[in-house]
Amino acid sequence: MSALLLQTKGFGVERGGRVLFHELALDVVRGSITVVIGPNGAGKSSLLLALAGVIAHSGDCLLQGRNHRAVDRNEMSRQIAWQGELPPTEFGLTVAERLDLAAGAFGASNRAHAVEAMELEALLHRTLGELSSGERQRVEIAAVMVRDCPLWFFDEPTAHLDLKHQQRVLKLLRDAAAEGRTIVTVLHDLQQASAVADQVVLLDGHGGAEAGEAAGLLTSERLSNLFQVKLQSIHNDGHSLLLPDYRS
Amino acid sequence: MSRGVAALTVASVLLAVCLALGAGEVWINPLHPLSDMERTILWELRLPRLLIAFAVGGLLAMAGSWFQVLLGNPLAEPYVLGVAGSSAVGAILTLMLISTSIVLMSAGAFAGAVAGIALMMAFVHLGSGRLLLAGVVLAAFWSALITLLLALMPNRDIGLAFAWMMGDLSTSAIPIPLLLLFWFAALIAGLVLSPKLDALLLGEKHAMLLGVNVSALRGTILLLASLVTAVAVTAAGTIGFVGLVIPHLMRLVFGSLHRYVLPASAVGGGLLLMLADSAARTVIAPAELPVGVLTAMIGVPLFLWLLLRRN
Amino acid sequence: MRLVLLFLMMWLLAPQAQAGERILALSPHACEILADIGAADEIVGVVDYCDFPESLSKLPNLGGYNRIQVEAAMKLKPTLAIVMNDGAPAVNKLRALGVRVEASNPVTIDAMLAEVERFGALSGHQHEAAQQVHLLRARLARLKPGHSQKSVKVFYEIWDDPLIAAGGSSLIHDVLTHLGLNNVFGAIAMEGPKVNIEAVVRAKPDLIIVAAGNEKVREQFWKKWLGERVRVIGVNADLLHRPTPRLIDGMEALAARLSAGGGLHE
Repeated sequence: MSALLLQTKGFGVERGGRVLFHELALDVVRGSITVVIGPNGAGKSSLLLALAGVIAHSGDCLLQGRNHRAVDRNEMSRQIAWQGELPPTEFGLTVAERLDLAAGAFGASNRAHAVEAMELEALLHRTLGELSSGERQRVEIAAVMVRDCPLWFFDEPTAHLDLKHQQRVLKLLRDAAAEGRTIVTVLHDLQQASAVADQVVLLDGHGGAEAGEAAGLLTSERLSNLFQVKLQSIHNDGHSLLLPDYRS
Repeated sequence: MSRGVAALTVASVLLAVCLALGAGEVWINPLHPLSDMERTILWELRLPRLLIAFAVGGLLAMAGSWFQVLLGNPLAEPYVLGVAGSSAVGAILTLMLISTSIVLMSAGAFAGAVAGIALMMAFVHLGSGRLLLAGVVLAAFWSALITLLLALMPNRDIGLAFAWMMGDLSTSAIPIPLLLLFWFAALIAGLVLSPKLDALLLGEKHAMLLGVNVSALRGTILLLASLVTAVAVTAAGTIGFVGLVIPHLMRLVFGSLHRYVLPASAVGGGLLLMLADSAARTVIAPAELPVGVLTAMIGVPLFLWLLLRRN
Repeated sequence: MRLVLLFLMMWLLAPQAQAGERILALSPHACEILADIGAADEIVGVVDYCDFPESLSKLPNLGGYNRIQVEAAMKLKPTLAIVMNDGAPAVNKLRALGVRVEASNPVTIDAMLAEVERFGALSGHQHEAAQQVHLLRARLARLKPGHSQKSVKVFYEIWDDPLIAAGGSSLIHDVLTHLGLNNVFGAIAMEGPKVNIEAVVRAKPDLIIVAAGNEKVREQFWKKWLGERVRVIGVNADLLHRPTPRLIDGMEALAARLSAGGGLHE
């Protein structure tokens, strides 16, 4: 079992004729958490989808040592579980049914744990349409966990969630990584990013992409530039917190 | 499926069959000894009608459930993309230019349906929103064309055109064994595709990440659903509401997963149409109402009740 | 002086009888009746299916009875229009443009005869009309069955697929009743109700009347359902569906066929 789950070279994504980013060299190690950061429209969601083989990309990517493009859809799905947009609610799917669908043909070996971790027991027989967006988000997180995939992709896992559940999700990510799960996630909140990231990918929104160790890239100068916002560095208990000054 | 539901299903089927066989101007009790005339009526008139109604109702309901998932819209139904419209155009053109024979009109209907389907296939790669738009616009076009043809045709043929469009289950241009076989084949094909269709309920991205080839699936489902609709319309004319209401009703009872909804629709649609046809034959006996009127009379209140209940 | 007074009286008493009427005969039956009472020369415009007598089809065709081309009609400088649908927009236009409009839609034999008389008055051919009606009534009287006749049950098949019968409010029903036949679907108050085979089997008709040309096929079909006993004959639909004097021709032909086969009056 190689330690390098994902390896990209010259990786880039285009949308509508515009290059979102290019020349990304990214190595994702087993059991690590990679956080993708950048302003709106920089291509963060597209990066995840391209790595998952859903949209086209330039450059190369190796998944578990194999050329990405040569991996068939089923196999890809066995390797990667994705949380992204909330599924439509028109058809009256219940939470239980939605989780069954997440298992698909691969079996739901982790279902009980997923339900428990996201506190969904009481909601299992409600339809998705009846739930609040926070509850639907929890269902989506659980859906990723249901299968026993080596790679978990999250696109803003803490969106819609209250503070308690945000913290829970972040703890979940850390615990899962410690158990050997490999995680790539988009996060907006800089504190959350620095709390979980081993590695960070910065997409600057002008085509630039850089990957590296979290400590090196999550600095106030880099991020102030990236987001065009003045960030203050506050020291707390041995950690640095990077906060935008909302009052200025 | 719980035992209670299974029992209810079996009971409903038996009731509908008994009604279909028993009801009519002559109320026949199938369990008592029958006179020759009663026997003839039962076997040669009511039984074929029952079988046609069952097959066509099931086909329409199956097609309805597929169109609903294909277009991601629970308001979709088999005629939304214009298959009924183009087949009606085919039937009416045949009526005007070739012959008033029902068999030939049905052949024309099938040809029209195929033309309509071929047109839609050109738009399937655009995604469900655009596909729906293209279909609705095309359906409107067929409608306008039908109005034009009705305006141009000799007055005495107008009644025939309407009679065809309103639906007739007394005979089918497609032989009954073939129709039943097709029902069965459609059900099997649908069951095979069910897991992938279920994935599609989550949206295209989720489906792709569950290993589904979404564009191939959409093309396949469009073709299958359209073909099923074409067969139903060729056999019995354009009967409405079955394809819209039955899948929803089945989802309420059995949940949204296709592996249950599909067979439930195949049977439930058949039952609804059998009941509607029994009513059509009986309400103003000895005259008959068009069966499409009855499916609306039964289907619309049922649908509205469902909507209110869901809230 | 008395002659002048007489003339004046005739002129005053028959205000509708203008010589030189220019008539739009906007339905097939209006054409036929007018021609029958000698008013063919007064007709200036016709519509589709005004094919009897044939000479009328050479006249300007103004469309279908429900789609009249008003401009073309007005070019013919009509004074009177005989129409089927009085409320139709085209008809209202004609009326607004000063054309006298008379609606005509007879659904019984008596109504048809009344129309013959009325058209006579409208076109100034009262005398011929009265004569014609007198003759037609005589012929009708000869067709009426005697009192002691047993009624024959008849199913009149207007169309084969879908199966359409002549209902109680149709002209055919009146014809059948006049001939002493019992229309098995006469109780249905529709003109052309859709029925099913079962209903016909249940009604057990002795006689089935179909469109001529289809006889052989329909005979085979109905004998299968009703046995050899049932009699199937074909008639010329044009003669029996139009409320015109030719209706009587059709009735006489039908009566002849029935008594020839020994089936009309048992």
